[in-house]
Amino acid sequence: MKIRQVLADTLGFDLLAGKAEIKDFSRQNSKSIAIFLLLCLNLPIAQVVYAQASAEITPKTAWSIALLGLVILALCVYLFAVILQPEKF
Amino acid sequence: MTVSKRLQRNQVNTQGLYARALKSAFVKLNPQVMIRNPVMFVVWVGTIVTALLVIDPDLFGAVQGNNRLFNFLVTAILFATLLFANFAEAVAEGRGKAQADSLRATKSDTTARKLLEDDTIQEVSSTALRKGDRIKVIIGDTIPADGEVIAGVASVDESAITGESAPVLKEPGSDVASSVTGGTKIISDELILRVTSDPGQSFLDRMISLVEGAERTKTPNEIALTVLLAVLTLVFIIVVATIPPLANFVGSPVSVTVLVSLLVALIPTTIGGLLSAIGIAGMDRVAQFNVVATSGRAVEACGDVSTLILDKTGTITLGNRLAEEFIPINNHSLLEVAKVALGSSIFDTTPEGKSIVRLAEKLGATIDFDPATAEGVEFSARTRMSGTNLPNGIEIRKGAVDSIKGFVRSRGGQINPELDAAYERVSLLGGTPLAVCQQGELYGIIYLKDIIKPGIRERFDQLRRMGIKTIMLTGDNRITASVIADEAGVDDFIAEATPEDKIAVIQREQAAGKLVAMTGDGTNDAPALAQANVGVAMNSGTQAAKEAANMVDLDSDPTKLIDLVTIGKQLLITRGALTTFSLSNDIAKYFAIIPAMFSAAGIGGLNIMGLASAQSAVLSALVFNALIIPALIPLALRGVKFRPVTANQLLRDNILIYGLGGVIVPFVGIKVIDVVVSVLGLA
Repeated sequence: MKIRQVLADTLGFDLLAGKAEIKDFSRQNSKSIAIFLLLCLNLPIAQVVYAQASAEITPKTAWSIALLGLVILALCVYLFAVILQPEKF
Repeated sequence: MTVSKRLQRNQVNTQGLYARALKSAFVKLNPQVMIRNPVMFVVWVGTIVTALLVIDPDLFGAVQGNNRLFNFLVTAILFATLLFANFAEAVAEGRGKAQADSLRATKSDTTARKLLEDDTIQEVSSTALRKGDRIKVIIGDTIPADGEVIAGVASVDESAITGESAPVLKEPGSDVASSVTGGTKIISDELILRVTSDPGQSFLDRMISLVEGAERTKTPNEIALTVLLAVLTLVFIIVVATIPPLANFVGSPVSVTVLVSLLVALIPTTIGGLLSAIGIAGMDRVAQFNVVATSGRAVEACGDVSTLILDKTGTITLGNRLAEEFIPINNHSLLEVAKVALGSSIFDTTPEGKSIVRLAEKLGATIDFDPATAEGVEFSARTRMSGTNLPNGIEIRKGAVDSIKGFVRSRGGQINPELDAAYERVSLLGGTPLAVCQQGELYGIIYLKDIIKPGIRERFDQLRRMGIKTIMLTGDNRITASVIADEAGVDDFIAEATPEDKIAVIQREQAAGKLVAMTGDGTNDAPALAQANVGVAMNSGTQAAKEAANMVDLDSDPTKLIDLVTIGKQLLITRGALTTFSLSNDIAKYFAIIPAMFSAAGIGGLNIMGLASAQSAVLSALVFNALIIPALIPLALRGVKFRPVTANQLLRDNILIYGLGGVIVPFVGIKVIDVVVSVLGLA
């Protein structure tokens, strides 16, 4: 409660006042938020790919390869979910 | 009778089925739908990736031989693969929906005559009826809801539900004739009914949602296969994802398009695309057979059944036993026995009773009393006899030998050893012996002949070859039961069976790890129907039996249980055969794509099919992969031809046909497509 008050005093508004609205929003837009977070995560990974690439590649190619890697990882996670909970699919 | 001969329903409108299925195939491309099929979802993601490569071929870096036309062709083929898989499912669903539509046509909102507390009639909509309401239906009415007859006798046309045009007599108090189904029509007299279902929960509603697939959930075998397919897909994703570093190492870098093509060729897309269609088609086959299954699980369980429990009467023998002979004892003449038998059966309206009357009259017997002044004594399970009480106090009885013996003793009569000899003689012939007596004097035995259904022995032989044990249940004595069991060729029998025996035998078999199927129609069958792995209730049976069972036979034919086992096995065999075919296809596709991918690494010798070029090899493998799905749709919907052989023999045959065939066919198919692709100059 104290932290919330300190935050509210510092920011000039209660940050947690809209907690329920944020929850509703994230529930309604879960897929869009997941894609947004995936693209955000891809930014640092793309930098690593760009830095590690032995051949000459463009930043766009590094970004694409990193995204492809994340898509493959997501597919693997999805397939593990199917294996563990097949009745849901 | 074969399965195909007995398929009789299918009066569904399939016009425009393929056009609707094609439209539905596009709608099913929605990722929220695709994600339910793991194999095809991976193809869907692959299609998106290759589509991006059509827009920018160098999106993932420049690789030799990476061009827009090739990427476009791969994308188009992958897209077609998705459409074909969706189309297969949509066709199967469409057939179910068409069947549901034909059922829905029989279901209409009618006006019902609801009986109020004071027995006055209130006209209400059929949708306003609730469980427990009393309604009156008269000639010409469509019965507005499922119900139980509480008063009246009427003929009901059930053809809308069963397809059987002969009207059925409905009356109260009978286990087999007191339940009526909403949507059927009264064609004579009138009935008072008690509604047994709320709106939306009727038998017809349940049937519609089942055939439409609205309540379809994955069966245990489907779940197991889904896991297997997901594991294979995961393994191949990992394999394909680790290829680029190796390819770069051997100096033969591969494009992402080729990698996606390899992945799609290797994952089991054929079975992935056809899996749900096979399941839906299995349900559809059962529905066409005029049987309503409560779930796909029940249909599948039919295929795994290892013990069949069958009632003798109606299933193994023809329902009606007929009087064949009168056997006199105690020095009575044949005519005297016929006269007493006639007197005991004059009020008996059962087919057996009528046949006794016919035989007695044929022998010249007549009655010397006025039936109007006599009183009929109905058969009951407790007394196990029936007969007539004459106005002068004389009692004439016929019934089970033990019961008649008791009756004779109670009236001060003597039991002659001749009776047991006649009883044994009839029993050894496989007939049912009925003793007849008048007061305390035994007159003789009526030989009721049981007629074994033609071809039933061959059916049991088939079941035995399939490893299914058959157990016959009968109320007959042990000798008769053993003769019938021997003649019919059942593996085991239970004589003088009670409903409790049914449950006991089911539990005993289940304890031994067997899956048990049985039929039943009476309320006393309900516990056994619920206990069995596959319980088939007769539509003419009571509501309790129908609710306890996981299948309802609309034609009320207990022999159908044998056909249901065949359908269940066919479903499992079809799924197994197509899975084998799908997995063995991989070998040829592997040999088509791998040499093409690593041609620069000097493994051209592996190109045993002599494919024209690397790109042509990839395209040919993918085209084959796509085309095999629609090519197998008819087989998935129709089912693999079923033969009654042992599981081992079946496995051997299927491995030979679908395993070896699945290896050889793609080699030929891919080579032919490669020639066409080369001639067209596509690669």
